[in-house]
Parts: sequence; C-alpha cells; structure tokens
Amino acid sequence: MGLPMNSRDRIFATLRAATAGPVAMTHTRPHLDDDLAALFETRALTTAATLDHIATAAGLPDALTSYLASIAQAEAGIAFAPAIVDLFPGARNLPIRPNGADPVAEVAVTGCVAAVAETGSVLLASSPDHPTTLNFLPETHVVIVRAEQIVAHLEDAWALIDPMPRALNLVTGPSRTADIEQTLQLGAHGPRRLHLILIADR
Amino acid sequence: MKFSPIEFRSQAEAALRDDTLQAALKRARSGFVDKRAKAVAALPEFELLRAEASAIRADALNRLPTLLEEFEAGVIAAGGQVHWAIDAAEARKIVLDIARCHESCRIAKGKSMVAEEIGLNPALEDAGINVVETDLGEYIIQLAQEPPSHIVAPAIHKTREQVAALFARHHERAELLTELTGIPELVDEARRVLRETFLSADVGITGANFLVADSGSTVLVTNEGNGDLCSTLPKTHIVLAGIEKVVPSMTEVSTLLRVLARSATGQPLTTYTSVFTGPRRAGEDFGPEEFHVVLVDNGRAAMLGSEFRDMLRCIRCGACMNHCPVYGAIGGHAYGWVYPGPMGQVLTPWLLGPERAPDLAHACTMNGHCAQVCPVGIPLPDLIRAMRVREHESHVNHVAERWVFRQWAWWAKRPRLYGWALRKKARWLRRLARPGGALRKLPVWSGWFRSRDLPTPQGRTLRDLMREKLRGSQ
Ligand code: SF4
Repeated sequence: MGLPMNSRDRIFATLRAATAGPVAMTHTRPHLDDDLAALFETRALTTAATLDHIATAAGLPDALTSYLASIAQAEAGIAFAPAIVDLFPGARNLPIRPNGADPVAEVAVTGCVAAVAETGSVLLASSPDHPTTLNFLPETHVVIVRAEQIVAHLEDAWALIDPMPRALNLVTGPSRTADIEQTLQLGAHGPRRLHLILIADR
Repeated sequence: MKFSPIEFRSQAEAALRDDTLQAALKRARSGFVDKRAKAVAALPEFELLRAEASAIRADALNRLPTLLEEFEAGVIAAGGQVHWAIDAAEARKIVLDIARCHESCRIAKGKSMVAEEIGLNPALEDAGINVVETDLGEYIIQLAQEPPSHIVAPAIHKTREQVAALFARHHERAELLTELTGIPELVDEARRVLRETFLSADVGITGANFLVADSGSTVLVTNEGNGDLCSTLPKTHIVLAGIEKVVPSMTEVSTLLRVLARSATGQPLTTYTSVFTGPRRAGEDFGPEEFHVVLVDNGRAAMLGSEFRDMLRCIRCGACMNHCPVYGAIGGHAYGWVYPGPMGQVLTPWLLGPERAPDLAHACTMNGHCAQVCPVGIPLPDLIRAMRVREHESHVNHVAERWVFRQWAWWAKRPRLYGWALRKKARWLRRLARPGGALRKLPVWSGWFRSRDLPTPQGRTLRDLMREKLRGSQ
C-alpha cells in the first residue's frame, strides 16, 4: 500500500464495494390541458400570485403604474433589472443594494427566461442583467412574462438553460411560511407580493 | 432542553402528559395528512411518479461513485470547491476552517438536517462564531435552545404565545409580548430582525435537497426564501449535503420535485426551487465569491453496503412521520435526535449505533402507513423490523424483552401445545375482564398497561377462525 488514504478515497472505496447495475425506468410528465397560457394563469393564481394581461410591451409602464396604485405603493422606489429597464422609458431606476444605498427600492421589476404552465412558476436566471437580489429583497416583485415564454413542463424550462447560471430560481408565488401553528402567512423573507404581467404579443 | 434517544421511554411518557404538545400535534397531524391527500388526489399520475421517483433514487444509489465524481468535476469546473467529510467531526472541522479563514463572525444559516446531524451550531458557537438560523421554524427553536421536532416544520410544537414570549426575551423588547398577538405580526417581527442578519452575514450555510451530477449544481427548495438570501448576500456560500443526495440531471430532479412538496406540505411545488452552480460570475455584482460544497458520509457509505441501503433513497419529506400513529402521539422530541418518526427509527440507530437508541425500532405498530405514503417507496416497516433483529443480535434490548421472546419462541415452535395454551389463555383473560370491556391491568405487565388497554378476547382464537375459514373454502 502507498500513501494513507484520505477521506475522499476511503468514502469512494466503501461506495465502490456497494455499486449495482442500472434500474429500468420510465419518465412520465403529468398530462396538461392544451391551452398552456390559460393553465399557467390558473395555476399561478392558486399560488397567491396576481396577474395582469396587456397586449404589447408598450403597455408596460401604464400596467406597472396602475398595479402599484392598486396596492397603495404608487410612491414606492422601483429597481428595474437591466435586462428590461429599456421597456420603461424615463422611469427612475433605484438600486436595490443590500448595504449603503439610500433610498432602497421596495419594488423590483424583472423579466424571466421561462414560465411553467404545469406549476404556474416563473424561471429566473442570474446574470449581470438580472441580479438575484431583485428576486428576494423587495417587498413586491413584478415579473414580465411574454406569452411565447410559457412552456408546458419543468423539463421544458430546464432545457432552455445552457450553461447553468450561478443561480437559477424557479419562483412559484410569493414567499410564505406555515412555521407558526401551521398557519399560512405570506411574506416570510422574500417578497410579500408576486405580480405577473403577461404580454400577449411580442 | 436536552433530549436523547436513549431516554426514549421517559421522553415519550412526558410527551403524552404535555397538553400543549398534544394540542399542537393534533392540529399538525390533520393538517399535513389532509393537505397531502388533496394534493395527491389532484394529480392522476401521482402513483406512477412515485414509482419513478423510487427507481430514480435506487438507480442513483447503485452508481453513486460515478455520479459523485461527475458532480465534483462539475462544481470545480464552475469555480467551486468540494470537500469530503468521512464523519461528523471532519464535517464540522471543514466548515469551521472555511469560516475561520474569512475572519468571519457572523453566519446566516438555512435549514439543513445534515447540519443538525453533525452538531454544527454548537461547534460554531464554541469557536466564538455567531450563527443565526434563518428558517422561521429553526430560528424559533434556536431561540428556545431546542432541537427540531419535525424535519419539515421544526417548531411545530410551539404555540404563538410561546413564540411571542421568545421574541420578547431575545429581541430585548418586553412590549413585544403584548404587541405580538397574531401570527402576521410574529412573522413580520422575525422578517425585520433576520433581514439584518442576512445583510451583515459573512458566510451563508444552506443544505441541499438534491445534487445534480451533470452540471455540478445543488438544488434547494424553501417556501420562505431564506435559503436564497443565505446563498446570495454573504461573500461565502457553504452547501452541506449527504453523499446520497446526487441524481444524474435536472430531468430526474423534475420527477422528485413533483412528489417531494406534495408529500411534505401538500403543495404542488414549494415557492422557491433554486439551483446553485458555483460562485458569482464575471460581471455580476451579487452572489458569493466563494462556493463550497461539503459532502458528508457519516455512516452513509457503510449503510449502502448494508440491508438498510434503501433508507438512503430518502428525500426528507416528512410524510412518514406525518402518517405515523406513534409520532402523532408523542411528537418529534421524544425520539431524542434530529430524525424523528419512522425514518428516524432506521437512521438514528444506524448513525448513532444500536446501543445509543435501543428502544426506537420498537416504537412501531407495523401498520405500514409510512411505506404507503413514502414518495420514494422505502419499505420502512421492513427496515424497522430488520433494525429490531440487529438490536436483538447485538444484545442491546432489555433483558426482560429477551426473556419474553425466548419463552414465546419455545411455545411457537410447538404448534399443538401453542394452540392449546392460547385457548386456555384467552379463556383466562375473558374471565379477568368485565363482560364486553377491556382489560386494564395484568400482573407483571403494569408498564404496558400504563397508556394502553387490551380488548378482551371474544372466545375463539385466530387459529380457530382460520381453520374454519379454510374448511369452508374447500
Ligand atoms: S422515509 Fe420516505 S416518507 Fe419518510 S421522510 Fe424519507 S422520503 Fe419522506
């Protein structure tokens, strides 16, 4: 025997002694209704997200303004993800830095890389154009979804991702906890509100 | 409060007498069971997916070394580091060394059963490092200095009044006791205090639900979003995971996700499903600068080569304990360690050694409900029975119990004599009890009757009935 084995070698030696052949298997995806946009909407609403329809991207600034007014946040500071900020001409973009920024935005507006009809989720990929902090620090998170971004299953959403970003966040409704007396409460650590703006046309 | 698996009997008795705990257990039990049943009924493919999830986990365990090597290469390619810990002590040392070399004094921690298993928090605190649990349930029990009592809902045994009292004391604001009367106020108070923790932490520690071999990613599911803040804001992110957690790709993860949350909380999917791959990339202003994965063996590799291999399929959903009548009666603390309920009755004696948990495998009625709901098809009653055999063979069970088994074996090997004695005994028991009633006591068996009664035998024995039935069917 040569050098004494390190932990990695010892673990692998024990594991190798216990390997076995492959297990035969199938892979099933749940059956979904054909109208993916309608399904996405229904499922997203059951996760306590809210949803708004607009015809074209030109309607975004108005849709955002009226949504913020409806939740009494008309005056709130907004942080836009660099990826979508151009869709809001003239908007004042506040930073959402964890430290040292004053004022800090309470609302974040981002895009997504896909929306999953099966679960009513949006898939967000970190990049310089979409910092992960926007998905978790604000009180309110507004996500812009284009109709053609809606895919059927989780597998379809992962297939759009290559290579893996630092963080891939599949977000299904606003933050919640049931840790006290099994009672559901929204807004544990992440956003209290998740609002989706669905654009029908490109 | 200290609990230990060796004290199972006395802890179980204390739990049965604790009215607050009993009320909490009743609420939790129906909540979890009903929600799972509804979620399962809403997905016609559930049983098929459950079978596929079992196969995915069994297959991954069969080729664990290959998948782990692939995973390790993926983490390194993404700029992260992988550490291997053969036992709890080595795992603690690895985390301490990473934390120390950053001169860090503050750690924000997400829920991790492996961290509980290796006793991470006490080790960090002994080294003078401030570690704050950020999952609300974990935070509550950290303040109360208690272990988790459920793997999914760690503070399930606490009432809102108890939580308010803890916040008032630890946040040093006595007025909170009267202000925090509702659950929304309690959640807001924790959000406010823990936000400071996230923003000031130097290191974030989280667990992992799955490790993805082909991309070197770790997958974490939470409802609160605390795990994401732990993994986004601090300069260093440490992921702690058992070596059994790896699966080939996101395709397999999809199936496991479909059964995990439904089995755990009855949700189709948890709010946040996050996939982390390495540290922050060029051009990014956020995300950790260092990404470490600590892979913990601590008895798992040996388990793979044992008759308890299937236990390693576990995806920690908690369904087995939610459906266990024993867990429902005594709660998680009575089991004395981090893994309660049926999964703990196999894991705890294996990981700690049979002599430190001699009673756990016996706290089972063999009703089989746990195996029926387990999303990865673990034959829990079979494993618990095997654990009983192992304990009998290693002589850790009680002398009296061994004596009873020896007596029973003597009779059971002599069927005629056994049948005769059984009929005599049934007649004798019937005479002892009031007509139609149940037996409340018997000489020598006082311990058994303390929390149970015995329905009076109604005349014929099972053997008689079977004989009649067989004759009738001929
Ligand atoms: S043993 Fe099965 S039911 Fe129990 S926690 Fe593990 S996966 Fe869930």
